[in-house]
Amino acid sequence: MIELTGIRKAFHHVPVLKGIDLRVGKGEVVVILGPSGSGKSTLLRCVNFLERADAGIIRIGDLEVDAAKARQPQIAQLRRRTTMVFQNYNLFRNKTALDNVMEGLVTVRGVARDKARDKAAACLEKVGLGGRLHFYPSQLSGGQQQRVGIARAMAMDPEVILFDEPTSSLDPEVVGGVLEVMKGLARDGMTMIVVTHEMGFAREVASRVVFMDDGLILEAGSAEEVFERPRHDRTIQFLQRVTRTAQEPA
Amino acid sequence: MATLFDVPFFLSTFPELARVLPVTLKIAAVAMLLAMIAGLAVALCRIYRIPGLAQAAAVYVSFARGTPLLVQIYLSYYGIPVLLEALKARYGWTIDLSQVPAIVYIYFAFTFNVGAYLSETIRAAILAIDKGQMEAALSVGMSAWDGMKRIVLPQALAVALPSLGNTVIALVKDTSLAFMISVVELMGEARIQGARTLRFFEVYIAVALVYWAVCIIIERAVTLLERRVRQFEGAAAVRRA
Repeated sequence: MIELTGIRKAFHHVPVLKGIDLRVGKGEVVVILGPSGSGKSTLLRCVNFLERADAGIIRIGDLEVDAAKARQPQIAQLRRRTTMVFQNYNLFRNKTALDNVMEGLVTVRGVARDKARDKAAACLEKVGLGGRLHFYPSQLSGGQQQRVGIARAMAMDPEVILFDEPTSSLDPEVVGGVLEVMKGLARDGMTMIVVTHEMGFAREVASRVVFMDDGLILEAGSAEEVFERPRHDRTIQFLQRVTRTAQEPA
Repeated sequence: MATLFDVPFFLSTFPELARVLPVTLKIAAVAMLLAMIAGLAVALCRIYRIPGLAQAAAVYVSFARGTPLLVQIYLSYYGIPVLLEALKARYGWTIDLSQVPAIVYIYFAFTFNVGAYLSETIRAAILAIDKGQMEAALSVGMSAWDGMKRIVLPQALAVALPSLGNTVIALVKDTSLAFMISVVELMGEARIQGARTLRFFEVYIAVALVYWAVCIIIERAVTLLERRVRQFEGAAAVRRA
């Protein structure tokens, strides 16, 4: 279980997160929606300390970390329990698909190379890239790269995978493939926190939808509750704007 | 009347020059290796803005690039012994400084000088690598050092390689200054030969050709290395896949 309590973060005295509380149960898929600049990505990045929150408690399982006081060993422990899928994939450019997935297993988990290779190959198979093991990122399409990114994240057996707008830089025709992989992960019971603009994915997969605006969580509930009966004006405005601009896969 | 160009003598100088070529190559190799280590350390101090060290590094780079190499060689050769003598007297060390060969001061001076240039090359190369690469390494639980060593530096090397090649070539030529403190390398040997025979023209042509040949080999080596190191960037590997 993941529990965030009172997460605050400011950049150059401009508050971006103004006290976020969020609980994510094991196996839940929580989708975070909100206009750009609402702090969604920052929140995600505070969970694994790519950004250090100014205040707040991050709890993952039995590990509790006070953001303001955390030291390197605690941060390292936290990062071993989480992985992240990035908007721009951020695959290791100097490594093949297989090596990208193996890297953490070998250097962080200390898994023997042949075992790590088997596991990495299995993960890549699972995301449909069994035939691309020895390709470098520069030889893969955006959609393929992002699926490698997901394989890399799941290979570490994290307690939660953080998805930071995983489909936002993809061509529309390959978005579906990446979302399918994510749905598969959700079905397998992976705990996921997903920042996305994909309303269809939220409707279909999310255990809960959270709407953020201006550094606060305005609304949280099942997809149906948030989409059909939003309580805040900001949520209604936002939903109208996205549904108008995006052709929604029903 | 003396011949303008004494070909047999000209040819006879090559074995003599070849004999001291290893000295030149050794100075270049040792200095390059140590300067890479120093340059990386200095670059990391500046990139991570380590309090105190970052400022010291900036002053070092400015000084080392802003003063002539020849001055640095003299400072190393004449200054370090004075400094060590003072420390010796103070702490009662028993090293005999007269036993230290001059080439050691050359290593020091060249490392000092080239390290400053390399630190800027390496710093720029590291900064050219997308921040997301390090973030991805951290996100799977790698330490910042592992991320640097295994992900960022190999990519930075590919970026820096052409510039590193230039530095090696410049360094090889600059080793000709080592004779100023009586280290007999290529240029030193050439001057000795010239002074002995008073046929400076032949000797200097010969030594120029030797430097040129060495630099051509380095250029070729860097090109080959670059192709290897840049493999991940695409084309070359596609053909093999």
